[in-house]
Amino acid sequence: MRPLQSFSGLLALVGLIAHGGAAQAWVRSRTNGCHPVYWSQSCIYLQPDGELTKDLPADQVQRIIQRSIAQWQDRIGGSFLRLIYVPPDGPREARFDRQPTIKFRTGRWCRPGDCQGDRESCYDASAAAITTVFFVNKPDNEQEDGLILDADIELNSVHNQFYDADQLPPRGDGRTLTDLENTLVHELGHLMGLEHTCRSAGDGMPDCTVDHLGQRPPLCSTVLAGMDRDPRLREIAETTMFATAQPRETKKRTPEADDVAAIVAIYPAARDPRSCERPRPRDQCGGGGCALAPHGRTAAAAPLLLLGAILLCMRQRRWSGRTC
Amino acid sequence: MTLRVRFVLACTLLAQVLLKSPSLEASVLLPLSTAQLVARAERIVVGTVVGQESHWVDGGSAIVTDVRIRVTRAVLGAQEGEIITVRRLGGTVGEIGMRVFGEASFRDGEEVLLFAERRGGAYYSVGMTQGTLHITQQGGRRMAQMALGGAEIVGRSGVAPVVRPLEEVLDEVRRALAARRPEPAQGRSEQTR
Repeated sequence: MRPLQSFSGLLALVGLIAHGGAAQAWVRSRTNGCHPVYWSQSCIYLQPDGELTKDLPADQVQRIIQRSIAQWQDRIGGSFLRLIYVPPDGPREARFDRQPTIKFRTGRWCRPGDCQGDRESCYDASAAAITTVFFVNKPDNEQEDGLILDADIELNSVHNQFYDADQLPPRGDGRTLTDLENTLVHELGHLMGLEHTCRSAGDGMPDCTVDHLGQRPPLCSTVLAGMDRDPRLREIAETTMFATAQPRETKKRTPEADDVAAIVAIYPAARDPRSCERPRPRDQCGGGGCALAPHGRTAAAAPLLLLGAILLCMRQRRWSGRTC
Repeated sequence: MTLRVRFVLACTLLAQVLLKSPSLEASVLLPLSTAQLVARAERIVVGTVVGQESHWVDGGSAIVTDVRIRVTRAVLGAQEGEIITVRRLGGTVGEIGMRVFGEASFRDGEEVLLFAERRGGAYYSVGMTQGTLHITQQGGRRMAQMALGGAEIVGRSGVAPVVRPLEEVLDEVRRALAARRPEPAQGRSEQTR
C-alpha cells in the first residue's frame, strides 16, 4: 500500500491544529525517482544483535532501546505503524536481509567483510550512528518505487561512549559521551522513512526532496545561524529529525509535534493494511556460505528453517541478481 | 527524602551544570572544522566527477558507489590530470536502492573540492557529506558550498556564509596543511583518530 500523498497535506494540517499550531517542516526520504520511501506493513519488527554495547549493562541497553521505541509509539496513536521490539537471541548483522536490526559496533566501526573474501567497509569516525534503508528502485513504477525492504541501525560504540543521561555521566575515556536514547529515537525516525528537517550540500537528498508543504528544506547551516532570531528556524532545529545535536543532548528523545505529524500523515490509521508479518529466518554469512540463525533454537524446527533460508536466499537472489 | 538522596540529587544537578557545553560538537554526525577535515584527509583535490558506478559489496550486504573524479587541482596526495576514485555508501543496483543518511553524494560533471581518507581499502569523503564541497559559479567567481559541519557553522557566534569563495577555502586549507604536524601517510588507524 502506498499511503495517499494527496491526503498528506490535509492530515498534516489536522495534525498541526491538534498540536497547537506549531510550525512544521517534516521531510520524507525519497528515491531517485522522487517517490517517498515507505513501509507497506502495519508493523516493523526490530531486533538488536546479541552483542550490545559494553558501555552499559545489557539489560539497561535493552530497556533504553524499548524506551526509544516507546517514545515514538506512545505518540503516534493516529498512525497504523507499530514498532515491535524483539529481544536479542543471538548474532545479527546489519545487512540486506529484510530483518531490521540494531547493531552496536564495538571493536571496529566497520561493516565486516563477507565469507567470500570481500573486505570490510569502514564508516566515518564522526558518525555516531548510521541508518541504512533498502528500498525498491523502480522509478517508473509509482506503486512500488520506494517500498522499504529493510532498514538497519548501526551504532558507533567505537568512538562514542553511550550512556543514559538520566544517570550521572560515566568517567570519560576519550570517546564522545552520547546519550543512547537521544541517538536511537532520531535513527528510528530515519528507519520509518523520515529525512532530516534540514539539508546540507551534497548530503544525498534528491533535488526533488521537499517538506510536506512543498518547500525545499532549509540548509542546516542557515537554521543554525538564524535559529536565535527566527522562531520558525528554531522550531526546525528543535525537531527530533534535525541533523545535528548538542553534546550530551537529550531533546531528541521525545519526538516533537512535527515529527509525530509526519508519521501520522505517512501511515494514517485509516489506511492500515492490517498485515504484520514477522521476518523469516535469514541467511547469515559465516564460515563460507549461508548459515542459519533461527529465531528459535528448537532442533526439530531446523528443516523448516533451512527451507525458509533457501527460499529467502532465492528471493534475495531475485532482487539483487547475486548468488547467496 | 533522606540526606543521602538529596546529596545524590544535588551532585547530579551540579554535574549536569558543569558538563553542559555551549558548543555544538557531538552529533549524529560530529561536525568537523576545515582544520579537522584537513587533519584527517590523505587526499585533497579539486576535481570533476567523470563517472559513478554502484555495486554490491560484503557478499551482498550493502551497496556502495565508486565515484571517479578527474583532478584539476591537486592540493594533497594526488596529481593534476589523475583520475581518483572515492567511494560512498549507498546507491542503486537494478531494482534495489540503498540510502545512508548523511553520506556524501556526487553528480556527473560537477566540480567538487574533496577531502578524502582511506578506510578499509577505499577512499571516502572525510566526515561523510562534510568532506565534499560543491563548487558553483556565482557572479563570475568560483564558490565552494560548505557542507554541514564546517567550522563556520559549529559555533553560535561568528557564523560564516554558507557559500564561500573557493580560493578563500583553499587558502584556509593550505594554512591548515602547513600547520598539520608531519606524520606518516600510511599505516594510520582509522580507529585512533
